[in-house]
Amino acid sequence: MSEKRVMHTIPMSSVSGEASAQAVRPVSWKHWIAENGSRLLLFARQQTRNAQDAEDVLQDALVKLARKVDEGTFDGGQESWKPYLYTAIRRLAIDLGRKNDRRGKREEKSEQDRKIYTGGMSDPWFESDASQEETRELLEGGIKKLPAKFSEVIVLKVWGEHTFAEIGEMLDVSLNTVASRYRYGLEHLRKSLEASRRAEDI
Amino acid sequence: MSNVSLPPELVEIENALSNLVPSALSPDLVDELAGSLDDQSDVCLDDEGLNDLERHLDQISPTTMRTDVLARMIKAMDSWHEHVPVEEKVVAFKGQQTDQPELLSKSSRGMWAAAATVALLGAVTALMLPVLSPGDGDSVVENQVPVNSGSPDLYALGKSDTGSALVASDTLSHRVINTADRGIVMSGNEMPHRCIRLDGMETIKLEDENGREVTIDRPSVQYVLIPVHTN
Repeated sequence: MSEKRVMHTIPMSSVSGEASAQAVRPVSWKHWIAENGSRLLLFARQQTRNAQDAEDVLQDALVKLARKVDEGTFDGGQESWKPYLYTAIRRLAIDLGRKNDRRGKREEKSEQDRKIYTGGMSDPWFESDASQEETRELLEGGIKKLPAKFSEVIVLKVWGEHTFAEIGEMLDVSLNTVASRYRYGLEHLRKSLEASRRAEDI
Repeated sequence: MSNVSLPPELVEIENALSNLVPSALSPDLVDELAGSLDDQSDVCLDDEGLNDLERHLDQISPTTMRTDVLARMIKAMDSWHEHVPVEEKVVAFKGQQTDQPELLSKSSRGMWAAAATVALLGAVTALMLPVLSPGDGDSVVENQVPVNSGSPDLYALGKSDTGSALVASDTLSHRVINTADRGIVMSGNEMPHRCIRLDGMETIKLEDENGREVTIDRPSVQYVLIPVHTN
C-alpha cells in the first residue's frame, strides 16, 4: 500500500520591507570589524548588560548589515554603517529584553559563569594598565550604575566618537535632549565616583 | 500700529513701547552664541570637574574584542545567508520521538496537538470518502494493497466481496508512531518554516455481510510546516 503524503502550511503574518540604496562591500570584513568591533561591542554590552547577549546582539546586527550591503539594499555609504549598527544593536537589545522574560536569571548566571572563567573578575568593558586599574574600575562601575539613557549617550559620544546630532538621529531624540543627557550623565557619574571614593576613604 | 482698535490711552502706551530699543548683546555673549552655532556638537561643560571627568573617560579604551569573538563575527558576516538569528533558534527535537503524549513538554503540547489533529482529520477524510461515495468506494479498496491483515482471506475479499463491506463503528483510528524535525525550510514567499514529519498508521476494520472482520493498516506520512517568527 502506498504512503499517503500530505503537506500542511500554517499561515503567518508577513515581514516588513526595508529601504534600499547602494553601498560598497569591503573586500574583507575582517579589517573593518577589527577596527570597529570593540566600540560596537562596548555599546552592545551597555545595552544588554550581559556579555553573552551583547555578543549575540552584535552578531545579529553585523549579519543584518552584511546582508544589506551584499544585496545592495543598504541605504547610504560606508560612513553610515556604524550609525546603522548602533541603531540595530539598540533595537535588537530592546527586543531581546522584551522577549526574554528569564533575562534576569540569565544575566545572573552568565555573570557568575564569567567570574568563574576570569578567576573572580567581571568581564571588563575597558582596557587598562596596572597603574590605572583602580580608576578604570571606578569609572566602569559608575557607568554601569548609570540609567541607560545617560550611559548610552556617554558611550556613543566618548567611545563611539559621534556628534550629538548623530546620536540624536540614532536614538530618535533631539540634539538638545542628547546634550542634556550627556551632561546629566556626567554629573551622575561624578557624584557616583565621589561617593565611591568617600566610601573607600572611610 | 496695531490692527486691533484700541482706546486712545492704550495707543499712547503702545507707541511709547514701540520707541524702546532692545539692549545690544555683550561681546562675550555674542562670542559664546557664535561659538555654539559654529559647533553644535559640543556641549559647554562649564564645570571644571566635569571636564576632568570627560578627559578621564576619553583616556580609557574599550577592551579589544577577543580573537574567538572576532572570528565569530567575521564568519557571521561572510556567511550571513546561513545565519539564523539567536532569537529564532529553536531547540532541536530528538532524533526519534514516539507518540507518547504524556512525555511531551507542556510548551510543545499545543503544537503537537495541532499537528495530530490535522493528521487525524486527513486520515478520517481519506478513509470515509470511499464509504460515503458508493460509486468510488469499491475501486479505492480494490486498488489498495493490504499491509497488515487480521484475516488470511483478505486478498480474496478485496477482489470479490468489498462491495458489501461496511465500516464497523469505533474501528477507525489513526496513530502517530513517529515524529521527526526536518529543520527549517523556506516557503514560496521566502518565509522560514520548521518542517515536522509525522509518521502515522491509519487502521480501519471492515466487516462483510458474513460477519468476517478485516483489519487494514495503512502507513501515512504528513509534513506540517510551522512558521518561525522573524524580525
